[in-house]
Amino acid sequence: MPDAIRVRELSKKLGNFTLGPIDMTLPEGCVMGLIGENGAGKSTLISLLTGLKHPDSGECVLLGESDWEKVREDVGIVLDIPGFPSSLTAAEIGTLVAPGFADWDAELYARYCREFALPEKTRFGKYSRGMKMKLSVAVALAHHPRLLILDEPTGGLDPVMRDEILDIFYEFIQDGSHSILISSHILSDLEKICDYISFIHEGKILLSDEKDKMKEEYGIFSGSKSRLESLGSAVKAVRETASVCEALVLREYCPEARPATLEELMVFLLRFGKGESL
Amino acid sequence: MTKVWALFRGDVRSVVRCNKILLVMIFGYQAAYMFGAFSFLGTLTVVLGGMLAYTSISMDERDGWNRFVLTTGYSRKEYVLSKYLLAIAGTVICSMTLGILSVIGQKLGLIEMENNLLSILPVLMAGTLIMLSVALPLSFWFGMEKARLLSILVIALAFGFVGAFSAITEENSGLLVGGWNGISLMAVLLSVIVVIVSVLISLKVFDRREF
Repeated sequence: MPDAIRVRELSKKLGNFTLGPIDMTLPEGCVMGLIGENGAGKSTLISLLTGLKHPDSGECVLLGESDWEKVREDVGIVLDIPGFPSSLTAAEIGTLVAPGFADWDAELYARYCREFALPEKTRFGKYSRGMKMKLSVAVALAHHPRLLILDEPTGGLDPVMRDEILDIFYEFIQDGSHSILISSHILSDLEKICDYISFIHEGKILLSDEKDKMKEEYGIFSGSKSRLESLGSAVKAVRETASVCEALVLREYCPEARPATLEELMVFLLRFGKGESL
Repeated sequence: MTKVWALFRGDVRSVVRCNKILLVMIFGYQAAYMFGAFSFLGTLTVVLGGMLAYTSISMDERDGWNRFVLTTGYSRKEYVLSKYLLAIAGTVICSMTLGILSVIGQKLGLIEMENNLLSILPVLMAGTLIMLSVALPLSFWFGMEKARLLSILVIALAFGFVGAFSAITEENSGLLVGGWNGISLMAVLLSVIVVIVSVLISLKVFDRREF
């Protein structure tokens, strides 16, 4: 089976910012988290994958298809800012969106709207940010996609609803043929469901690998400068304060380093790293 | 076309819901026209009807729907065609209602027989469609924020065009071709060509637009 997402040498210049060239692969049946600071290029990458922007060079292949128009019905998308017509209710939005998808499931959509407790008679423009996100998730799931591309889908949601939404995403991938690319700042969410993690910084992918392998491979060293210097190229990022020296290191060469959490990986790579791909 | 029709229905619902005052104005002026009042504003309603497509694009940009729709099952082409459908429908419906009210007004003796709107209605429709055919590609290309400044110039030119054509049409009402004034026929044919060219341009520019 083809990879869910395959990106090769993808590049896009926007004013002073350049994204790429980026190489990234999401195997089918897996979940990849996209982590990066604000302005790193996450949303731009998602826009390129979903046909909202056109790349300057390179290719992106979704579900074995490079033409977005041919694969759009198999991809469910949640953008960072949901943008349905503000004067329509949830039911009317369902009616509006349904003809766009051959496999639209009106019952499933109605079920999600009930589960998310979306008010029936309230217009979309009056929804809170969390409610708008929930409706966007309902629309993305209701046409039985094979791939979900999610840009900050749990932003603005309370912890209880975030947990419920993540359970829905987890249920989505259970059959082994569905895949998810999710960008989020909430690392605890990504820890829960992701198989792969990609760190993006200033338009470049610094590290992209299996989450568990990454956490095994990289650790946090805390100790003396002399020991740190002895590690040589095994040191990937250093945080020095007056009292302590901490570094992101390859645990293979530094057994005393403790396993890094996703948050530590992110902070060290993006804040203290050299900005180069590892 | 099913998808284009679905988008069109959604647009009509949104536009009607958010522009009730404008719609009351349109049909109010048309009713006033029937009684022989506000003749210029009455004819203006045909332009306002066509411009509901413009209103719809503006609302979409405000809501983010012009970007978000592309992540649903609709293509850029379907989105563009739905707006042209709205423009044409708005123009034709307002023309028809104005024409019907004009005939009723004449029959009731409320409007003078010399004031024959029906002879200039085709020119009015054609002028409206030509105006929109210039304005719509601009909005698809630049977005409404920038396009509206250019559109003001376009609309001013269109009013001048419609006014001139209307005057020429009335003066040459003897030049009948199968019951149609020759100038009217020319205007309608021109508008059809311009609309088709406009659609092709809009499809091209919106296909390249990035969000």
